[in-house]
This record gives sequence, structure tokens and C-alpha cells, in this order.
Amino acid sequence: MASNYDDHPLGLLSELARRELVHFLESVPGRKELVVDSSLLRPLDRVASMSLLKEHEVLGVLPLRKNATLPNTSDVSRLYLTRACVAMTKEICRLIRSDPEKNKAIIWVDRQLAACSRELELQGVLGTVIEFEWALPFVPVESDLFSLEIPIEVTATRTGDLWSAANAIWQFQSLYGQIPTIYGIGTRADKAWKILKRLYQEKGEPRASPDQPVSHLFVVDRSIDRASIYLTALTYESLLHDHFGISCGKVTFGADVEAKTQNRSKEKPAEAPEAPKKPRPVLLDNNDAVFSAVRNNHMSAVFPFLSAKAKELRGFYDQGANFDKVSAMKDYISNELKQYKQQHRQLEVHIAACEVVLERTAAEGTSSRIELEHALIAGVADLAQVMDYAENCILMDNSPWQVLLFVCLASVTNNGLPPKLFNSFKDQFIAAYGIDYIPPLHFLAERGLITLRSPLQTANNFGQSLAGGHGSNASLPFLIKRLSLAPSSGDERKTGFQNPQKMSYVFSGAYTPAICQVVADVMMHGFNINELKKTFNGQVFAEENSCVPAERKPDNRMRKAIMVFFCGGVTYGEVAALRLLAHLNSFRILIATTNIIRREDYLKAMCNVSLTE
Amino acid sequence: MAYHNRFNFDDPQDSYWNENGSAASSIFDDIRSKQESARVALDDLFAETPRPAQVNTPKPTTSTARPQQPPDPNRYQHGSGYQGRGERPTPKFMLNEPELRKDVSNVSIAPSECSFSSLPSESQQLDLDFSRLRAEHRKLQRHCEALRADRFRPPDISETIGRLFKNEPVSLDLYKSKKDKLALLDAAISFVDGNVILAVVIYIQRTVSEAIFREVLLERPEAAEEYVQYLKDWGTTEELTNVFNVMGRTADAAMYDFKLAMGAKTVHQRMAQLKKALVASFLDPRLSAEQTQIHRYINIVDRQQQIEVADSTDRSKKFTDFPRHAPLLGQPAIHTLYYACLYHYDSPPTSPDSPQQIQDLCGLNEKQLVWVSVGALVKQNRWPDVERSLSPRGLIGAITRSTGANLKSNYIPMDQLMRLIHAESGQPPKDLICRLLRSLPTPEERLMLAEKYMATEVVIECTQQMKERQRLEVYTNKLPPHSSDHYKALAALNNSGAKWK
Repeated sequence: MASNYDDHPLGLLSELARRELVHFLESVPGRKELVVDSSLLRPLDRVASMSLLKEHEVLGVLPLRKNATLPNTSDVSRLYLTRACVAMTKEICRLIRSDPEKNKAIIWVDRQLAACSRELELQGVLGTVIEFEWALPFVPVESDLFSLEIPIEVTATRTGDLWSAANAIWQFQSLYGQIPTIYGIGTRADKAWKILKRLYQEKGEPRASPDQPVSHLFVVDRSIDRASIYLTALTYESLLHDHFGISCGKVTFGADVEAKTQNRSKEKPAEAPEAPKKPRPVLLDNNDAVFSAVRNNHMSAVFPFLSAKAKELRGFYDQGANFDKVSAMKDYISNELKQYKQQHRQLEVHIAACEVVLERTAAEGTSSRIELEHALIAGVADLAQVMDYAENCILMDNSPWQVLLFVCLASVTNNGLPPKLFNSFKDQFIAAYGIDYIPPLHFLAERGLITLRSPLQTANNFGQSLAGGHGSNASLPFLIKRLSLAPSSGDERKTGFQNPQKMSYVFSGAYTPAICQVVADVMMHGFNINELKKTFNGQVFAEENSCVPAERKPDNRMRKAIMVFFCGGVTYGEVAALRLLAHLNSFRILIATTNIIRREDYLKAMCNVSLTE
Repeated sequence: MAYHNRFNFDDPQDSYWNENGSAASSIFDDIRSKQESARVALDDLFAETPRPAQVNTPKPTTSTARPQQPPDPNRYQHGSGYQGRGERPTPKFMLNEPELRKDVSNVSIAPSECSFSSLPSESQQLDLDFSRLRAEHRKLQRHCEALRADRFRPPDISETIGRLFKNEPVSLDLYKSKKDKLALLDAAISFVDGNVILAVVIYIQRTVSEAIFREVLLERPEAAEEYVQYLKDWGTTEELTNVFNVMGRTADAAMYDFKLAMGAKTVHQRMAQLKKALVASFLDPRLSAEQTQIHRYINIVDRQQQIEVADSTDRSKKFTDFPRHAPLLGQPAIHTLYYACLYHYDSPPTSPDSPQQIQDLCGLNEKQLVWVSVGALVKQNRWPDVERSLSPRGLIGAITRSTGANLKSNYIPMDQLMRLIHAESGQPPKDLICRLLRSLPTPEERLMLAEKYMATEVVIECTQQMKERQRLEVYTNKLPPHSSDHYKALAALNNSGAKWK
């Protein structure tokens, strides 16, 4: 296990899930088809390959969509694989009732819920169908990034993911042994921990094991730092995610990127193979040499790298023309050329993607937005000017969600907006995008994201925010000051995006993601629970399951990893920051999360807007 | 009652004693753990104190051991997995049945307390066995009767909640008193898990009157939150609105009504429902801003209807030049204003479809009017009007226009204005661009935009002012040769009067 660990960290989890799935497949005899909730297709693919499914007589995998009909296949059993939610259950009931004779089973991912069981009962389906529960473990998105891939509607506003989070941690511990030291910050972390304690009682407590690869676990509540979501992170991966949406390590580029790569291949038909007609998901991981080099780079450092890489490749191709011996030529063609060709293709895709990202950001006027964002974080922005920019964006008909993200930032950095600006913003927003946006604005206000500044507060009133249902979190200006998240002087900012030395590089030096800063502080100085309690309103806990006191700082000579679990989702900006932190201090940091946040989707979930609309 | 018949101990022919050797064990069991748990079970019996079933060994009581039931594929069990849902909870006694049998056979084969020397004869052994079995039988019988009596008594609350938490089948129906129900709910809330809370809330909702249920929700926000979420998923409108109103969440209720109204298929239905919602749920003074917005929207749609009727018969040139792609009805205020600027810019200010009237109706400010009208005018290539709408109104505007002085855009930042007037088909006159650019305060800004939008005159001015010959040369090279701009730039470069660095 120890030797295999570096290649497949937490591989046992997937292995267990795979075997469990096979067991379900085998307990339904005969040929079968799998009908899968579309949000689960990619995670399923990560855990069990199609060939494995085929081995167990699965004829095909069909997506489960609303009001879709499935092809009628006789004497084939049907297995539904879905997360327990009422909408999907209704859908499954409809399908089952339309074909009552068919042999069928439901595999609930994570667990069956009371609401779904009631729906099955009401529809008279309960009892006619075999049910399984399949605990989906951490899906390995990258060798240091694991996600439970829970839909963002659940993680942003509901409590349904807490059980899954706790269960995943329990699962991990039961396979790899108890984690010696555990820290928790924030309300949701606290709740997840309570559930985990119950799981210990009901399912048994994990035993300590010397092989446990993780020495410290941080369980952090996403909502203690929302600024990292509102701010535009400028690493390549996070920009790709914002613009195209990476899901489970795969991305489907839009038509514009496809067009660009096709044009290129037409110019050099001899070199590049014919580009595919239909947009095809591209796998983004460290096996893609080009991507792995630029994924965490600041955007300003991406193009220089790509062009250097292109030149280098050119050099290699030229080298191919200069061989005088046939054997050398042969060797070159059989061994190296293939590799170069592959890199060439990758380079082409990434250059096209970069260009499209830059075009789009230029069209939206992102540079002035970023300047204003930085001013807001530094606390030096003129709110009138900020709101004027927001109004311009509205009139330019930019995406309403991007406008809202920006205004959210303006609101949280100033403890709410003054009434005049607040009301005029609301009016203009509704006038441009329609009254459909009345409920979203209402929910944003209710959750304390875009609020009216109460007359008692002023912008510089550090302390606890009074507004909103989620007001128990420390206010952003307070956090920035306390954890010194924003650099004190302007000179610090503009240095070294090519070879960053500070985590704040992901936001061009303007802001260090709060959660990453906490992890870094603990790494450097140990866990000071009293200080952290003061910072985060007391919602902090520490637990030691070994003789090492929890206050002591982690030691990288132990060659054990630190795991950071984000309850409620992580952004790629934070991922990049943590990777840098690990790199600079020669630690190994594993990032686990309930899901990876795309900021527009996060905001939509906060507004109770369905993502498909 | 099948359960009763099966365990009729008075008839030895009809008890599990006869079922030796059936394939009762599950694959996951190993003998040792079985033995241990059997020992515990036996101790239990001798102690004669009913204690809860062994939680840590949730053995599947395999249905194959019971000939009354056909083998059921449902009964798969694996670790945290499925637990034979939908059936009666298995009695505790049953849980230990196979283990017990094993133990019995152990006892009969190897009587532990006998020393090697005093091995009893075969008949003695049989006798011993019989009396032992007899004693055990009595114990079991008593135990079974106790269990049977307990069957309809509610089990311990923490046990029930624990089973709910593990998704094991459990009956809540035995908790009849309100006190029990509340205790159950509180225990569920202390578990934090939403699913457990919801299961209890659904049960309570089913079994108490509405008034009491509301009271319960009011006192326990966690429970209410789960219930509201459940109703939302469920789509039960009336109940949801009721719950919101009872809990004093009028704003949420209003938003929910509003969403429903907006979901109506046609604009007419939507209007009717919105009007209804306004009266019914938007009475809260905290929602006054939203109320005004909805009122305004209803007025806009009324106006849109008038315009739509008038324009649908209009066959004039502008409608053929710029064919309408989508119906105006239901569009937001800004779109309506754009429509008015595109098709009715020249209508008298008092006409209901003129931009000024729309602006008043929708409560739009000057900035929005300027921005939208410039966009619409550019589309029609009406440059003098663009200029007029950019320059300030009134006397000062008239003067600046007549003197041809620099234009100044108060509302639109220059880079966006430039993008706006170069949009789509726009071919703005160079003169206009130059005058606009000259209004920028610093030459550097001016130069940047001028280079981007090929305003040669401004480029020449700025480079001369900033003494950057190089930059002008670069710019000149980008111009198409033999164009007038190219000649101008060349002339400026060759001008000996200019002082370059």
C-alpha cells in the first residue's frame, strides 16, 4: 500500500467502491442497462470504467433526464443510479410505472433518504424494486485533489451534504486508519463533525494505524471565506473553469475554441491530424504535459510559457530534418516524434483556449473589474465609482451573474451597501434583466451577500457583521485585518507571478485566500485554538488521537500528508494556492472537498435558481 | 401472527430445533465472531434481563432459514449497505437465532466442565443434554413472551433514532403521545442529520393536528428548515405558502408566489397571477421596493401591448430594415426603451411610444436613456442624432454643438462608448470619433484608443505632443498604403517643423 500510495493516493477508496458496485451489478442477474443521473456520469467513469461495466453484462449507460423516454429493451434489467433527491425519484417512479414488468433496481448514491422512500411508497413502487446504497467515496480528480462531486445546490444551501462528507471521512479512516490530529473551523465543519461522531457510534470507531498517510486533517466550512469566490482568480485552470466549466477533470470547450484549433490544423494539414467535428471532452490532468506545467500559473505567465514551449517544439522538429544516419532518423520517428506530436496537439488546444479566454475577458472589460476588485479588498475603493462600473456592466448587457458576483464583493467588503446605492443598483438591475431577478436579489439579501448597510454600521466598523441569516461568520474586513490577507503596501503586489512566492498570486497579489492562510499559519506556528476562536467566533475545534499535542505544528520530516477538507466546495484558486504552499514548504497537501465551485453556479445556488435554467 | 406460530415452543416438532444445518450463515460471517456473539446471546438469556440487540453484529437473518418465505433478492446486506427495507423490524430474538443453534451444538459435543476421568456414559450424557436443553427452552420461552409483550411498546427513543440514522427499518407509529413525539424530534435534532429530522417531522405532520404541528415547527427552526426544503422539492404549493406565513416568513412566501406567477405560460396569464400575488402576498412593508417594481412591470406590459397592436400593422421602412426578431411583450424595461429608440425615436415626446414616455414610465435615469439611445441610433447609422444625444441638453448643449467644440460624454466611459459606436454595422464618421477622443484628459489615454480605432488625426496630434516618433512610425506601417490616412501620417512624419525627440 505504501509504495502504491504515491501513484494512487486514496486508491483503496475507489477500489472498495468499484467492488461494491460490481457486487450490485452481479446481484441483478442477466443483461442489464445502467440509467445514471447525469451529474453522476463523470464520477462513475472515474470509479468504474466502461469495460469493467461491460464485463458484468452492462449493455449501456444511459443518462437519466427529466421527461426523457428510454429506449424500450426487452429482457434487459434496468439499474438506476442516482443521488437521493425527490425530483430524480419522481422521474424514476414515472419510468418504472411505465414499464412495470421490467426487472429493476435502484442504486442510491450515498444513501436513501426519507423523502425519497416516501415518494416510492406513495407511488406504489416500494417493494417492487431492489434497492442498494452505494457510498461514493472521494473521486480522485487529480493526484492531490479529491471531490465528492455533490451538486452545488446541496452544498451551498442545504444540509444534505454533511452526512455524505462525514461518511466519506469515516470511510477514509476505516480504510487507512484514524487520522492523528484533526482541526475544524466553521459551523458546517462543526455539524459534520457531530455527524461523524454518531457514525463512530453506529458503525464503529476507526483504529489507529501506522500506515495512515495523513497526519493532520483540516475540516473547514466554505462559508467562512466567500471572498475567494467573488474575486476573479487568474490562474489558468481557474479561468478555464470559469469560462468553460471543468467537470471531474474534463472540459468541453465551446465552439470558438474548436474553431480555432480547426483553423490551425487547416493551415498545417501535414502536421496536425483532422480536428474532430463535434466538441469532445478534453481530459485535463497532469498527464497532459503542457497543461500540468501551466495549470497553476498566473495568466500573465501562461503565454510566455506557451510560446517558449512552441519554440522548443519547433527546435525538436527541426532536429528531425538534420539527421544524416537512417538509424538515427528511424529512432527519432519511432520514439520521439510521437511524443512531440502529442505535445504539439496539446499546445494547440491550450493556446486556442487561452486566446478565447483573453478575448472574452477583454470584451467584458475584466481588467477594470479586477482593478476595482483589488481596491475593494484593500479597502480603498470609492463605492460610487464601483457601483458606476456595475451599472455600466449592466448596460453593456454582461452576464447578470458576473455583475452580481462583483456587487457581492462590494457589499461584503463594506459591510453592506449604503441605501442610496443599494436601491439604485436594484432598480437598474431589474430594469435591464427583468423582474425574474427579484427573487435572486431577495435571497442574496437574506443570506447576507448583498445587503443594505444598517445605519449603525460604517464601512470601517470592524467586528461582527449583524446582517443576514449567515451573519455568524466573521465579516470580511475583520478577517482581512486579522489574518493580514491583503498586502500592506502596493510594492508587494506586482512581484513574481512567473515564479510566485506567495499564495496571493492567484488573485494577482491582492488577496490571500483565508482558508489557505489559516492552513499556512498552522503549518508555520502550530494550532492556536484561542486565537482562532477569536477570529472565527468560537466555531473552532481540535481533536488529538495521538500522543502529539494538537497545538504542535506539523513536521514535514514525518513524510505524511496534510489533508484539507472543504465543507461546501473549493475553488481552483484555492487549490492553486494550496499547491504553492505545499511546494514552498515541501509538504504534501491533499485537498478534499464536497465539490469544486464554479463561481456563477455558486451564486445561482445561493439565489435558489436552478442551474439548468 | 406467522411469527407467533413459528415459535410455538410447546411443540418441539415445530420449532427451530428441527432446522439444524440449513444454510443460515451469511458469507461474511466467520465462525469465531459467531461464537462470541452466540455466547453473549446465551448469557443474555441466562441473565434474564432483556437487553438491546447486539448493535455491532447486524447479522442478516437470512430468509432462507425460514421456509415460510420465498428467498427474496431484496435482502442483500453488506456493511453499511441495504437493510431489507420495507419489512417489519426483525425481533431481537431472531437476530441471534443462528448463533444460538451453533452454541447449542457446541455444548452437546464438548461439555467443558467435565474432567477427562469422569466422562459420563452415553445415556447420562443424553440425560444431561436433555435437562440442559429443557432449562434453556424455558428461559427462551420466557424471554420470547417478554418480547411478545414488548412488541407494541415503543422502543427506546435513542435506539429508534439510531436506526433511522442508519437507514434501518423502524416503526414510529408506537410513539403516540405528544410528549414522545417531541422527545423523538428533539433527539433527531441532536443528531444534526437532516434526513433523520425530516423522517420524524413527516411522521409528526401525519399524526397531529395542523395547529400543533405549526407550533412544533415554530419552536424548532431546524425542523422547519428541513420541512420547508422537503415541500419545495415536493412542489406542494399551498402547504408551503401556509408554512411560510405561519412562521412569519412572509417575504419567502411572496417570493414563492412570485416565482409561480412568473412560471405561467402566456404573458396574459402571468399578468393576472402577478396582480393576484401583489394583493395576496406583497403586503409586507419590507417588500415595498419589490412591490413598486412589479407594479411598474405591469404598467410596462400594458404599454407594450398598445405599442405591439399599433406596430404589428405598421409596414413602414424601419420595420423592414430592422425586422423584429422577438415580440416586445414581456421584455424588461431597458429592452422596451431600446425598442422605442429603434422604431419610435422621432415620435413626438408626448406620444406613448416615444423614448421619453417610456423613460418616464419605467423610471429610468438619464444615463440609461443616453446609453440605450446611442446603441439604437448607431444601429441605424444616425450619426448626427448620436452626437445630439451625447451632448448635454439645453442651452449649453446647443452652444457646444453650434461651435463644434469638443463633445463630452458624461455617462459612458470612453472605451465603452467607442465599442458601442463601432458595434456591428456601425461606421462612425472619423470626425465624430476624433472630437470624442479629444475630450479625454490625458494624451496617453487618447493615444491608446486612437490607435485602436484608427483615428489618425488624433494619433498624429498625440504622438507629436508626446514626442514619440517611433510610435507614429509603427502606426503608419499598420495603415493600408496609399490611403488618405497613410499619406497624412507620412506627411506628419516628414514634417520638418515638428519637433521630435
